[in-house]
Amino acid sequence: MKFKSLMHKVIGSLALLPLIPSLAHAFQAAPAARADYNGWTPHQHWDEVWHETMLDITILGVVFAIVTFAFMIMYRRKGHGERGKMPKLSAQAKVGWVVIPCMLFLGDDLFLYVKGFDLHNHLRNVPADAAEVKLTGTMWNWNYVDANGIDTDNELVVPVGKPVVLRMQSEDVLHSHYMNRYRLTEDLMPGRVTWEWFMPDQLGESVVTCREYCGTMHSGMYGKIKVVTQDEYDAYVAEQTASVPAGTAVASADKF
Amino acid sequence: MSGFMGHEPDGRPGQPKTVKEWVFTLDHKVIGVWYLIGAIASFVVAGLAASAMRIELGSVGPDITDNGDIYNLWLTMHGAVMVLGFQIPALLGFVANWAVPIMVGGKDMAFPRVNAMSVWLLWSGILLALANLVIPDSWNGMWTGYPPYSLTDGAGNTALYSFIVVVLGMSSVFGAVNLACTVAFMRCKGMGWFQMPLTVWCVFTANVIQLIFVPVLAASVILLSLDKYLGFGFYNPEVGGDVLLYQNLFWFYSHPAVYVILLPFMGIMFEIFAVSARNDVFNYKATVWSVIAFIPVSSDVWVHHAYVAGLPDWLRLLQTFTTLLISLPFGLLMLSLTGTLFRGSIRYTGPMWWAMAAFMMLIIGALTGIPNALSAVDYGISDSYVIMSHFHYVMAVSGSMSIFAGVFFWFPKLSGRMCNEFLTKATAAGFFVGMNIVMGPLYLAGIEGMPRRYMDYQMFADNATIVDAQHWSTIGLYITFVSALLTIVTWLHGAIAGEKATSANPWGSESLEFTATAIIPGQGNFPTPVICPEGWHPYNFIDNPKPQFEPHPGTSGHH
Amino acid sequence: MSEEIKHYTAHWHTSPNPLLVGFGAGLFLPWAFMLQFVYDMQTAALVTLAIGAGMTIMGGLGWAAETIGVIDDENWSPSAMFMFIGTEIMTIGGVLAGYWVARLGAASWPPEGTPADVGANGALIATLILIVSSFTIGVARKKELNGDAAGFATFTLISVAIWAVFMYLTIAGWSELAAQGFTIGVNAYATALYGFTGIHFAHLVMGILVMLTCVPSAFKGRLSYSYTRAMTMYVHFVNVLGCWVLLQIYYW
Ligand code: HEA
Ligand code: HEA
Ligand code: CUA
Ligand SMILES: [Cu+2]
Repeated sequence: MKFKSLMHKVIGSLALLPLIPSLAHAFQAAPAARADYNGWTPHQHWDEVWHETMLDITILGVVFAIVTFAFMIMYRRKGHGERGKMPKLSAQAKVGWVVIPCMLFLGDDLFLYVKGFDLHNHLRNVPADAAEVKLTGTMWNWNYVDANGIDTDNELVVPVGKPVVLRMQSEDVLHSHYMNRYRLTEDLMPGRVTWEWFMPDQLGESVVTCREYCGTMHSGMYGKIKVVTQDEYDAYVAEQTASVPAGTAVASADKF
Repeated sequence: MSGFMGHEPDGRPGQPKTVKEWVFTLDHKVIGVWYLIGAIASFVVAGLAASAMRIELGSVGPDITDNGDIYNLWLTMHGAVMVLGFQIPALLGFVANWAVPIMVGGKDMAFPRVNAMSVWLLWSGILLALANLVIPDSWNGMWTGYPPYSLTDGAGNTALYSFIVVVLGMSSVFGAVNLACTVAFMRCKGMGWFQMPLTVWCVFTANVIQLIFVPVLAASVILLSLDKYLGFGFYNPEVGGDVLLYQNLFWFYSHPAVYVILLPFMGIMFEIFAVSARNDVFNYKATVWSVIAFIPVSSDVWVHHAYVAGLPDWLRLLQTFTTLLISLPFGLLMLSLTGTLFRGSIRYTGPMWWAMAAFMMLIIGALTGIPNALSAVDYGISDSYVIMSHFHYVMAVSGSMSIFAGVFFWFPKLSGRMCNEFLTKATAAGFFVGMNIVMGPLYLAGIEGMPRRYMDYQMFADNATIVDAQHWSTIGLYITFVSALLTIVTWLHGAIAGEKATSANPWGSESLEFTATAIIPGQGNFPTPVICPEGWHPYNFIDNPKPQFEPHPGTSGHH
Repeated sequence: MSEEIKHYTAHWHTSPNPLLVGFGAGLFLPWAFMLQFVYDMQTAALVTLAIGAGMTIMGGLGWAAETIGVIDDENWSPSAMFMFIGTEIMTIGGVLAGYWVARLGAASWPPEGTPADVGANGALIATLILIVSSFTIGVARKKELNGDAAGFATFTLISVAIWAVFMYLTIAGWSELAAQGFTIGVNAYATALYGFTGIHFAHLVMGILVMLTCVPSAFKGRLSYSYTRAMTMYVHFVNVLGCWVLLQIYYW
């Protein structure tokens, strides 16, 4: 092979490569698409796909490990002069040992991809009746303002059974809003609005943490999501809106 | 008999004798040793930082520091120095410089002076990084250095970060050009492309990846300093810049970078597996092509590090697919490794213990990449200990164990002496067990929601899984610490007082660095140029023709 | 074989120059920048700069004296330079990607705060002058192939002079823009303009150093064909880069 000229061609074609990362910017993040809520709680769906994937890779790993262990035990060196007896592969066998495994791997990849695709669509299509909450991250605080103008720090109170979508932006550096129970993470940044939605299906509190490194107190940037019954929620709204002057709340909710 | 650096005729070891010969050296073997020293020193420093972190994380609440900045400094040093100061120099410095030219039968690297400059650039980078521990305003923005945080005062000395990356990047690029020319043009007579040891193929391919992608990383961090200190606005949305640009540029390099680390360390595994089993590498040519396939496939998957960063959905879905595709070449490599043992004749030498353990960890680490690769699953585990555990298994543990396997493997050539066999095996076992105890529980903690880069986790104080996992992980660290310390002791002991190597080829390799040994010290690797006879192959253990030497010019005309 | 080896004594090649360049450029120059911009210690910065630049230049010159026309480097330099240019293209491509993002994402272009005349005509003329150096360096190469070392040195110096003129024009353009209040951080266009012309400028400095390394040995009558081949490749590359910058920044 004439390596030099081949190499020169390959390297010449590098000139096109910088185009690739710039593609990422041709489009900004798509706005949330709305869809009817299909009744399946997204974090349960997540758990399902997670277990499926873990099972899959466990089987693959165990098979690989068992075969390797078997070889390790079966083929120990017996005598000093002994050599390996790798059979010579025929041309077909050589190709076969590439194509068949690749097909199997690809099959499994596609299987997992479809599962993930489904879940992705579930997580990225906001139900039409989702309640809007504006979330602003700052070092090191989560600020929630809901549709009623209730403005809270590090605690979000929502009624059970109604989907919620968070519209998020950061005022300083990157943060990442992770809701432990709902298995969802999305970054917040200055200059763009990002979003995530979840389904509060069970009463009680769950932890929220920051998952993008944001300085000294990154690990102190946590809060909670409190899910209450509709009655409790109505009472909460009444109490909060009474104590907050209407003007300021609307103003801060308007920020986006 | 003799170390690679050879012995003087009177039996003294053939290392350079004077300080000048060491420091101003132009010889690739000596330069390789400098790389190795730098890499091991980095491992020690970064490992001590890891130990401090683990002790801090052992229980809820402050243990040895209550200052977030100090913890963040440790973590930054740990990540950056392990990757940039330890693994890349060990693989693309030590293995590439010390082993590859000899393995291809060349007399040196293509450009010895450029080679020397590269190693001193590396040392500059290491010294810059170490300075971070003592300067005021130290950099604490992690090895990823994301803006806007890195543009704030809180992040400390961003210029230092940029320079560390750029200086090491220059070192890598010059090194990569050099190595590519060495492999392309300096192979000995008779050695075709498909007669190169897989270590050479892997290092070569890794260097091509470096050539393509390092510059993008350099660009991304240079822009950081331009923004912060000279008032540019590439990442500043207020003047029309874009914060996400950095993540795209950074991972456009840093994802391929994981294969820059992976390929050479798998190359070492191939070498040791084949030699220990005295067996041909399974489906050698397909293996080579799988290695090459990493170049294109790795170039379009960087978004999997930014699934949750607010990039468009179509891009996440697209790169979920391309990321999954890596399992094809990767799977073939694993198949070849296991296949190499098939009907082999395995001898469990010290290096083989390390390599086998590394392979086991690779299975775990690589497969745990798959859940992360599914964008929708990643929403639940991104930046958690699940990710942390994934990359420690594949990169930190499998990678380090392979590198150490390589050091033990080539040790007789480096020093002319053998390491204590019992200690070699005991430390392998200790490191393996220790790191499993460190990283196994942390995977479970990650599933429970434990985020990365947290100095404390009081919000999870009532989660028994997380608290116990952190506790056990720290116990595992103590085992690892002792094993790592003993490993270094084993090397030092071996180099100073080890048994003299009685054979030039203690493991029975067929590769040139063992079979065509120079017995003369000094510049140049072989007394006269090597020739690979027809039918020679590095993994032919049955009837391989012996490498030959050109007749000495002194006996046949002039030079 | 053993006959020769018996009389063999260890012999290691050494040179201090790579070390000088490595530590000078890799350690001292970064510290100079940091002392200046991070720690605000001007005097210390100046001293460190002097040490770093001194080491780098001394090392570079010594390196050239040791190798050019002395060591036959077996013709790999052009291939190496080719790869190096490949990586350079990637670097610049990375920065270009940033520019495209800003530009394609902007509501209007050029953004507010940009003067009506950014000096496109001046830049065009300067670039045309720059291109001439590709011809002069070509002539230099011809002379070299004919064994005319002095002619080679002369034409190399002419190319250096042309680049110096271009650099002067670039600086003049910058100061004119700055005088109108159009400084680096004003808007995304300013960032791009100063960024790209600055990157190109840095390449010119590098290129001049590379050209100059050939000159002393050439005056002594020593030539290194493959090294100068690589050198001329770099000169052409920097000229092409100049055209790119012109098109991307001033005429798009
Ligand atoms: C040597 C280093 C190395 C290697 C080889 C890998 C290999 C892989 N990694 Fe990993 N990774 C890292 C080092 C590495 N990684 C690091 C350092 C980080 C964190 C960086 C940071 O944020 O600080 C990271 C983070 C990381 C993320 C980002 C997560 C996040 O931040 O949210 C993702 C997501 O996709 C990922 C995926 C993968 C995949 C799919 C592979 C694949 O290459 C694995 C492919 C291999 C196999 C699958 C096994 C073998 C194949 C078979 C047995 C065939 C059959 C299998 C199937 C069909 C599934 N890795
Ligand atoms: C190749 C890379 C590599 C290696 C080898 C390691 C090795 C180890 N890593 Fe690391 N790690 C990373 C790369 C690596 N890591 C990266 C990239 C990150 C992410 C950084 C980020 O988030 O930005 C990370 C993050 C990271 C964390 C996450 C912290 C957090 O997110 O808050 C933790 C926590 O447990 C950890 C632990 C360890 C441990 C216990 C080891 C052990 O294997 C270490 C074993 C070594 C020793 C125990 C040292 C032995 C010491 C001696 C022998 C010294 C003897 C003394 C003298 C001679 C004086 N690492
Ligand atoms: Cu906010 Cu981390
Ligand atoms: Cu990756």
